[in-house]
Amino acid sequence: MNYIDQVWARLVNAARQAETVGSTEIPPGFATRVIANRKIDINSASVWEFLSIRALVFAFFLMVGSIVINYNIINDNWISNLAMNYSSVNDDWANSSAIADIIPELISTP
Amino acid sequence: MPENQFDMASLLLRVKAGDADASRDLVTFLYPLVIKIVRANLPRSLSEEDLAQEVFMRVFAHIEQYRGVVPFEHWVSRIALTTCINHLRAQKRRPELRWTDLSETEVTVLEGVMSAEFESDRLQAQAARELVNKLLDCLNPDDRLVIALLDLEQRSVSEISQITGWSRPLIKVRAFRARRKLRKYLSKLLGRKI
Repeated sequence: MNYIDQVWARLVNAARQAETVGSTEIPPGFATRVIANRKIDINSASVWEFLSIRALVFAFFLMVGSIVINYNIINDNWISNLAMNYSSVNDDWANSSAIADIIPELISTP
Repeated sequence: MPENQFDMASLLLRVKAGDADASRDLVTFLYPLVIKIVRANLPRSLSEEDLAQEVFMRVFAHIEQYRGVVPFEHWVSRIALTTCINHLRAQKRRPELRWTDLSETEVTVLEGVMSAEFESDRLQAQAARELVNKLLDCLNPDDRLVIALLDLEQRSVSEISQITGWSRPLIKVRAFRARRKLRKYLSKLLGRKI
C-alpha cells in the first residue's frame, strides 16, 4: 500500500466514525407529507386519465361523424381522382407509343 | 424473521389497497434505510429530506411492480440509489479539489491523516466525512457510488452487485478506475504538503 492509499484509508476510517452523528429518526410530519403528495399525484394522474379517455372517444365520434356527413364529397372526389389518374396513365402510354413510332423514322432519315 | 416477512407482506397488501395508515407505517419503517443511502450519496444542491421524500414517492409509484423476488428492503435500496445517482448525474462535477477549498477543520484532519497515529474526535470525524464527500464529488456518479459502498459502508462486492444490479467484474473494474482517479486527486491535493 503506497502513501496516498494509506492517507485515504485513514481518512475513510475517520469518516466512518461520523456515521453515528446523523439521526435516522423520522422527522415529525414526514410520513404525512409523503402520503399527502402521493394523494395529489394520484388525483392529478386520474384527472388526466379521465380527460384523455374521454378525448379519445370524442375524437373517434368526430371522425366517424365527419366521414358520414362528407361521404358524398369524399366518394365523388375519389371517383374523379381515379378517372383522372386512369386518363393520365392512358395519355402517357399513348404519348410514349407515339414517340416510339417516330424513333425508327428518325433513325432511317439520312 | 419469517414473522417479519409475513408482516411486511401483509403491510404491502394494505399499502397496495390504498390504506393510508399502512403507507405511514411503511414510510416510518423504511426511513432509516432510505436516509442512510441518501446521506451517503447526497448531491450538493439538494436537502436530504427532499431527496428521501422523492425516493418514497417513487417507491409508492412503482409498488405495484414489486413481485417479491428480492426482499422489499433491497428493492427500496435500489430505488433510493437510482434516484441519488440520477441527481448526481444531473449536477455538474467539481473539477478538482484544492487546498484553499478546505475548511479549517478539514485541513486539520488532512494534516492529521498524513501521520500514522491520527485519532479523530467527533467534530473531526464529521469534517473527515465532508472531506471524503468532496473528494468523491470529483468522481463520476457510478465511480462515486462504488467507492462509497466499498470504503465508507464496507460492503462486499456481492452485496454491491445485489444492491445496484451491476455485475461483479464491472464493480471491480469501476472500483479500480475510481481508486486510480482518487489517488490522483488526493496526491494533487497533498502535493504542496508532501
